[in-house]
Amino acid sequence: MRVLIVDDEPAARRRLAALLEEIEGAGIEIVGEAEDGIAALEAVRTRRPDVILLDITMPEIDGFDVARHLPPPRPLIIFQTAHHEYALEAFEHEALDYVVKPVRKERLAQAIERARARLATRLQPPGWDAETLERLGNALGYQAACPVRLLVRHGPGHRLVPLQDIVRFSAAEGVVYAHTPSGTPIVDYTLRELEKRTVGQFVRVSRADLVNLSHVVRIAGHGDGSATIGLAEGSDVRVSRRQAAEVRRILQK
Amino acid sequence: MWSIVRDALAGASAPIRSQICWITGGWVLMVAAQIWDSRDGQGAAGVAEFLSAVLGASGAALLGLAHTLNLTMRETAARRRPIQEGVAVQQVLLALPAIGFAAGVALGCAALLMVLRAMLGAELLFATVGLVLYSGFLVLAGRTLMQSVRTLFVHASEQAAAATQARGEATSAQFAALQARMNPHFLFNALNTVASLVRANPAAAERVVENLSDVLRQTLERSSEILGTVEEEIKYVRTYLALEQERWGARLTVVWDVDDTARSRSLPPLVLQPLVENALHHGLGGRIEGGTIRIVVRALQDTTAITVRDDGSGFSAGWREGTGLGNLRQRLRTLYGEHATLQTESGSTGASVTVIMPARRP
Repeated sequence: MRVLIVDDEPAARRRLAALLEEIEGAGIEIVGEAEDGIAALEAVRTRRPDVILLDITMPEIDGFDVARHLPPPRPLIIFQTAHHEYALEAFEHEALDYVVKPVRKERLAQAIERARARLATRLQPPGWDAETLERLGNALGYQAACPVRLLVRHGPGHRLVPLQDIVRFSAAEGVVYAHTPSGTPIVDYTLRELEKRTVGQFVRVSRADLVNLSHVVRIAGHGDGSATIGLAEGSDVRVSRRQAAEVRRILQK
Repeated sequence: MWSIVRDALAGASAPIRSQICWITGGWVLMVAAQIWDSRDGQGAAGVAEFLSAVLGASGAALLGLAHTLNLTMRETAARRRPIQEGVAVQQVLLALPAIGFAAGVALGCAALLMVLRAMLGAELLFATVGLVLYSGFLVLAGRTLMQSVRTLFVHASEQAAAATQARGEATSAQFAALQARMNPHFLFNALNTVASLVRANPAAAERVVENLSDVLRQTLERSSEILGTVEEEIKYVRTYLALEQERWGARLTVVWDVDDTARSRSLPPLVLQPLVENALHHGLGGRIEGGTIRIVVRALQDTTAITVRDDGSGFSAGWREGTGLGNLRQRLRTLYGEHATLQTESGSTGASVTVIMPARRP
């Protein structure tokens, strides 16, 4: 069983490695360690672990972010969390596991055993869509802060882009794009999620667009109640009738 | 101290000014009369004459000074003011009864000498006038003495009230800090780190336990103080940072830049620590690479300046000053009034918070 250890604290990683080595008969091979979200995604891509021990609280790119950006074939995830809460039910339903930090050896062994059983069934682990992650996050009482940088797709992997460089997000045919001066990479979040995470910096102008407030230079209304926003980089974005009033209110501030 | 007296005199109202003029005029006349009186005198009578003139003049001068100061300082004394200023005002006010007392002694002696002069055969009328005059001044000196004591008492009770308020604010600030230290997350993280270290690096684990103990103990011990020293605060922050450093690893670099002469200066406890905590969690916390924190303490002539700078991403768009900084501002205002400032600066290459306060030797 190929295992990847992800935790931002070096001492924690060492401890997990030591504990895994002590678990007998599991045939565990530690294929690597990662200390942040970007390194974790890269390690999953290049080393293809079967199981990933994933710390949730990491700076900037947390465990949930890593989970939703995992490239296929997705490894089984064993989250490391700070609290029990009532998350157990939510997690069991999604057929994976969580352990609390600092993990007891017996508990870790149990999680590894469950992972091995699951791997033997050769069932694909479920994908991590926005709703699932939101539910799990809520179950754990976990809240993401407003990001300074955002994960966007970059070739086969990902990279971080400063949020203030993103002029707007747009959705087309189920794919969300981030418009930046240097390109238009795909983003793995839904507009709704982005809207919630960037509140105060971005404004939803229509079902398809989420615009960076600091790039707005003017707004012009139309007779039918809709409007058009002019952006600093020169382009225009349509504001739907439904959103026009709210957009104006936010721009006033 | 002199600046307080100067300000009080400059700020005196018109009636007080005219009173001062009258007093000064009267004193000049009195001295002129004494000079005229002692224009011819020899032997014991002459000596008595001379002495009574000198003592009378100086006693009256001191009385005039005490009375003037009492009038002008009364208003100054009654205002509640920051603790540090209050101590300076108190020193001036303490001088007043002393001056009044000295005036009384001088005038008393002058009066007695007048009696002596009369017995030695000086002009009876003149001696009587002098005696009455000096006795009258003596009574005035007594009155001024009592008034200045009362002014001092008013001032002292105002200062006590200010000190109580400061203590209350200090206590609630330190209580909040204590709560933060006892906060499950803080303790949890530290214990987590111990668990991680205890097998592979027992010595480091032991250090973490010791540092955690120290931080908790120092928070408790310092929670009853209003003022400590810069050195104590530095020690506290070093221990706090040692704990954080163990978790951050290579992601955190701390640079200390402290003027040696600043170490013995006064500083309210828990001024530097919230700034550092802020820089860690808001400045560097949101970045994968972490960063550097610079702690600068400068000993300027009249002030001490403390700056904490981080090279993170600066304050984010929706950032508002948290309760920690707001609380700190309030404490600084109570202790130093307008003489302490807290300024924040932020840009895309990082943020800094600077606190400047008067340097008072403890």
